Amino acid sequence: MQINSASSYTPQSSGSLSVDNPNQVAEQRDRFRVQETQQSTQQVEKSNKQSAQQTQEQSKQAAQVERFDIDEQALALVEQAQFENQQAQLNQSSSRTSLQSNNAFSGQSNPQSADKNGSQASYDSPSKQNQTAIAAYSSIDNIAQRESIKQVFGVDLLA
Amino acid sequence: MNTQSLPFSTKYRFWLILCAALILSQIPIISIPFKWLESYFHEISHGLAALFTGGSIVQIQLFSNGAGLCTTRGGMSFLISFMGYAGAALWGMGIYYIATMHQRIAQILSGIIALLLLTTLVFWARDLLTLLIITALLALVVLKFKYSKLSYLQISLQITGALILLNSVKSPWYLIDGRNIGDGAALSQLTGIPEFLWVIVWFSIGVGGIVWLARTSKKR
Repeated sequence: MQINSASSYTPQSSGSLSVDNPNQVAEQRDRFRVQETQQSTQQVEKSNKQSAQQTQEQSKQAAQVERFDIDEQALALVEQAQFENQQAQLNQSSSRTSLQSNNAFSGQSNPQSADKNGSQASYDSPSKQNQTAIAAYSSIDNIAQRESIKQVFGVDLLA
Repeated sequence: MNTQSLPFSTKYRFWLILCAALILSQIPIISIPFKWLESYFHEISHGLAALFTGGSIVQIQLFSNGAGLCTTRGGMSFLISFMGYAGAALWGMGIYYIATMHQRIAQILSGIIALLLLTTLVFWARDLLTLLIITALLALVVLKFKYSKLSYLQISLQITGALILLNSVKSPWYLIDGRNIGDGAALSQLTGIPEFLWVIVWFSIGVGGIVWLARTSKKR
């Protein structure tokens, strides 16, 4: 508690030095009482202020906590949406690969096993765009090979 | 002959066989040897065009997915490139027309096809896969001789002819893929006429063949 201050005790010491007049003592007592009451009111005011500040801080903190809760919920929603998108993409790619594997193994005995293999390999399968790029690249390579064979051997290649 | 008195199966024989060929070409496993046969007649047309124009056949390759490759040396480049799809359409028309003439003629035609396959097997097939595919095709043609009735041989040849003809109508469209490769691109380079127009020409030959066969079958 903040009670002592230099100004509040100075009259006491000065009062103890000049005791010869009883009226002065009474006045000092009264002054001291007034000072004490003033101090107590100041303390009350301070404590009130402090408590008000504390409540303000608490309310601020509470508001912050509330804001954080909202953010967390939003994050949770975003994460959920992302997870759902990923799962959808995975499903799509697995179904695509299973279709491809079915096509590839259409002439063979067990399309179900081919489907299973396709879904297992879906994580490693390149995207459609990549597959097109590879096909385009390899076709250019084939054309170049054909051209070189034509030039070297003097033959025509007809598909 | 009065066509009104003919039974339905005889009157619409050509269209029924064309429908049967269309259905057969959609059945997954059964359609595989027919795809090989279609590809074979396409490649042998390139090769024969090379031979007839003073060139030679270096190699004929067939692949399990129905693709093919004919390597030639010399000859007239324009005709060799053009005769792939056009020749296949002519083979389809010819096989159907000759098989319809008479059952004995159908038998002779079957023998000619077997001989052509044997020649290809001996002279122009160099890789194992092509050897296996042509052997399988030869076996199928030879098995047709085993039919107890010649009419079965006749129908099977008619279906084969219709399948080759249908394929010659459909397959030129695969050339329009923006990649500028194949017979259409080769002809475009030789003549300056766009690939699309060559596709239209081959498609028209195929459709013309179907119309011609439909008319001739009506007259009979």
